Amino acid sequence: MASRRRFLQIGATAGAWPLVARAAQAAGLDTVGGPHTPLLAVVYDARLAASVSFGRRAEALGLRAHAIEGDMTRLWYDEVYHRWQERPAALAGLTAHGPMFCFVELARDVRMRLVFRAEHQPTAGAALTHAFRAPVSMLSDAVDACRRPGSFGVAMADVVSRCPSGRAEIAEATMPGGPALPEADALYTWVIAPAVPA
Amino acid sequence: MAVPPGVSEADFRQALARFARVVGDAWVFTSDEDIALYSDAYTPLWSEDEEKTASAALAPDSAEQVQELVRIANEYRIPLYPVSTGRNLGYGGAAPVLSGSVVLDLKRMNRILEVSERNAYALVEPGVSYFDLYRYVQERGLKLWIDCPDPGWGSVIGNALDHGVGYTMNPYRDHFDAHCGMEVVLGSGELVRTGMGALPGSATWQHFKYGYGPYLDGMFSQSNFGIVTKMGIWLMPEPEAYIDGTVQVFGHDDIIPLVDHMNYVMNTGLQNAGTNLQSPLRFAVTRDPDLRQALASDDPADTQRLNAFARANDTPFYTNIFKFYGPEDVVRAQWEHTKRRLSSIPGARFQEGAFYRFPLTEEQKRGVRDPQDLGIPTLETFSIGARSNFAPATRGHLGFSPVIPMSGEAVIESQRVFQRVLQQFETDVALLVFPQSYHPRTLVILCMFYVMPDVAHNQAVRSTFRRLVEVAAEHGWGEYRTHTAFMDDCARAYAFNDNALLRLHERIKDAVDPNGVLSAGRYGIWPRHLRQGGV
Repeated sequence: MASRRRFLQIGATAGAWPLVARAAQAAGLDTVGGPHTPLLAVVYDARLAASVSFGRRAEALGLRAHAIEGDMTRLWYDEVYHRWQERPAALAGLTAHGPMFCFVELARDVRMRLVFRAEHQPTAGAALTHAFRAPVSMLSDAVDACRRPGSFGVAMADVVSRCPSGRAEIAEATMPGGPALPEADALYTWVIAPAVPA
Repeated sequence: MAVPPGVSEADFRQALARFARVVGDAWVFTSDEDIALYSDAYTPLWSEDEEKTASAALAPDSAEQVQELVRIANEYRIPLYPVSTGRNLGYGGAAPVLSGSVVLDLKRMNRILEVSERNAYALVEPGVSYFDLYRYVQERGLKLWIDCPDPGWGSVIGNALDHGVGYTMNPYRDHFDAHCGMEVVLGSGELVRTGMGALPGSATWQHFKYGYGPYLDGMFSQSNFGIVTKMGIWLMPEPEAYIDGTVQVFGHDDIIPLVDHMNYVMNTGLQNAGTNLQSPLRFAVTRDPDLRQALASDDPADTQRLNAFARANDTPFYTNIFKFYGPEDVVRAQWEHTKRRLSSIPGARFQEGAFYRFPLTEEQKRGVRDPQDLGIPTLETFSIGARSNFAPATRGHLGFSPVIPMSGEAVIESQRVFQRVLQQFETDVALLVFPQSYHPRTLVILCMFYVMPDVAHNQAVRSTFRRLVEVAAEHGWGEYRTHTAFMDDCARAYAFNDNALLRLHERIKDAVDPNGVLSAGRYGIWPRHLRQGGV
C-alpha cells in the first residue's frame, strides 16, 4: 500500500497567519511565502564538536547562534520564551535529544511544529547513519551534505538556513554510513517553525 | 476521518461544525498532523492497537466557550478529554484514556487573573504554566515564590489536580493542598464555584478553602467530574534565607531512627520541607550481584555483610538532606537542633550544605544546584535522564509510585518486596528509586520504567507494572498517581467492601455527567454506557 503523501504549509500557524506575515515584514525578514523561512536563531551545544561547527557556520551565514551546555532552560526562559510569546518564529538546532525534545514540546504552545528532523546515529564500527524527515527540497540537500567529507555540522547549518516557506511535501530518507562522530551518542538537527497541515 | 466511539461520522461532522462556530475554525483540529500533537510522548503502548489517540482537538479560550462545547458534546454524546498544557509526561500526556475522544486543549486559557503579594496567592486559568507564573512574579518584583515540579513546564492547575508535588516547604509542595477555590464546568455545562467562591462577590475565595457546607474540591482532582477553568493557589512569601545539611548513617537498621527523627522534625514544624533520602550503599553495590541479592534478603547474615561493606568502604548506608526556609537565625537554629537530635544515632555524621540569603542575583540563580528547591522552574532533567542521550533510544519513562508509611521498617520492607518482584521478572526494565516524602507524613516508593520504541519491551514493562500493583496492594500500599494505561488496574486495588469507593465514584459520575462526556475512564471512572456490559 502506498504511503499517504504529507504536506505542511510552513510559515503559518492556526489563527496567526496574518500576524506572522506582518511581523516578519516589519522585522525586515524574508516574508512568509518567500523562498525561505526566517530563523529566529540556531541552538548549538558548546560541548559537542559537530554542534559547535554547526553554530559557527550558522553565525558565518548571518544567523544568531545561542550556545547551551546540555540544559536549554536559560536559553528558553531568557530568550525564546519571551520571543515566542510576542510572535512565533522558527528555531533551528544541532543538539542532543533532550534540548530538541524540550523545544518541540514548548513550540506546541504557540502552534509551531518540527518541520525538519535529522538523527545522526553512531552505529557499530564508529560509522554514522543519518535519518531524515524533511521537506523534499531540504532532503536532497541534507543527503548530499552528509555524503561530503568534512563536518556534517557545517553542512547542516547550510541546510537549515534554507528551510522552505510555503507548501512543502514532507518525506523521509536514511543514509547509512558517513564520517564518524567524536561523541558516542546520537545528535539531532532540527527546525521548528510555524506550520499547519496543507 | 477518525470518529469517537459510538458516534456516527455524520453526527461527528455536524458536531465539529458547531464546535467551530464556538471557538472559530482556526481552533478546531482534525488533520492527522494536528491530532498527532495530542499524543503521549512517553507511551508504553507504542505502535500497538491499544495506543491512545484522539479523533480531534478543540482549543477554547474562555470558560464560556468550554460550557458551550460541553453542551454540544452532550447533544451528540461526544467524549471530551480536557488537558491543560498536555505535559503530564509519564502519566499519559495529552492523549485521552478513551481513544477517539476529542481533546479539549485549554492552553489558550492562560490568563493569570490575580496575584496578591499581601495575602500570598494567585488565581489562574488552566493554561498557565509554572514558567508563566514565575515570570509574572519575577517581572513585577513580587516577594513571592512559586512551588514547581521538576520539570517545571507543566500547568499549575493540571499538576495540582493530579496530586502533583514540588520541592519547597509545606503546604506549598503538596500542590493540591496549596490550592484554594475553584471554578468548574460540570458535565452538563453548568458553571460552579467552590468554597467561598459560591458567595457572589466573595472577598475570601482564595483565602478560606472550605466555604460553607460539604467541601467538594477533592472530587475534581484525579477524576472526571468537571473541567476546572479557574483555581486559586497559595504562594510562599519569599523567605529571608535557606540552609540545608546532610546527615549520613552507616547501619542497615539506622533508617529506622533516621525516619523517626525525620517524622518528629517534620511534624513539629521544625523542618517543614520534603526529604531527600538516598542510599549511597545501594548505589555502590549496583555492580555486585551478590551484594545486590543481599539487599533483597531478610537474612540477618546478609544484613551483617552489607554493614561490613559500609564500614569497610566508609560508605553511608543512608543519607538525608534536611532543608530549612526562614529567617537566618531561625534556620541556623533549626539545623543545629536537628543535628543534636540525630546525634543519638551511633556513628551519624553531618555535612554542611548550601546557604542562600534572598533575593538572589541572576548570577546566583544560575549557580543554584537544585533550582526547584528555591521555586525556580527548570528543564535540566531532560539533559540528564530519560529523553536525553543518557538513556538512548528510549521514548521516556513512567513510574510506579505507591505510598508507604513514613517508617524505616516500611522503607526496608518495601525495598525488599519490590526488588524480589523485579528479580522474578528477570527483566531490566525498571530502576528502583529510594523513597521520598512527596506529600507530608508519607513516603512514596518510585520504580522507574523506561519505555522504548519496542513492543516486546513495553509489554514486559506493563506486565511488571501490573504485578507490582498487585504486590503493593497485598502489603497495603496503594498508588498515589498513575499513567492512563494503568488507571483501571490501580482503581481495582482500592477494593474495600467490594469496591465500594469505585461504586461511589460511579454514582457521582452518573449524577454530574449523566451522558459521560468528560474524560471517560480517567482514574478508572467510566460513564454508565462504557462500564462492563456497555457500548
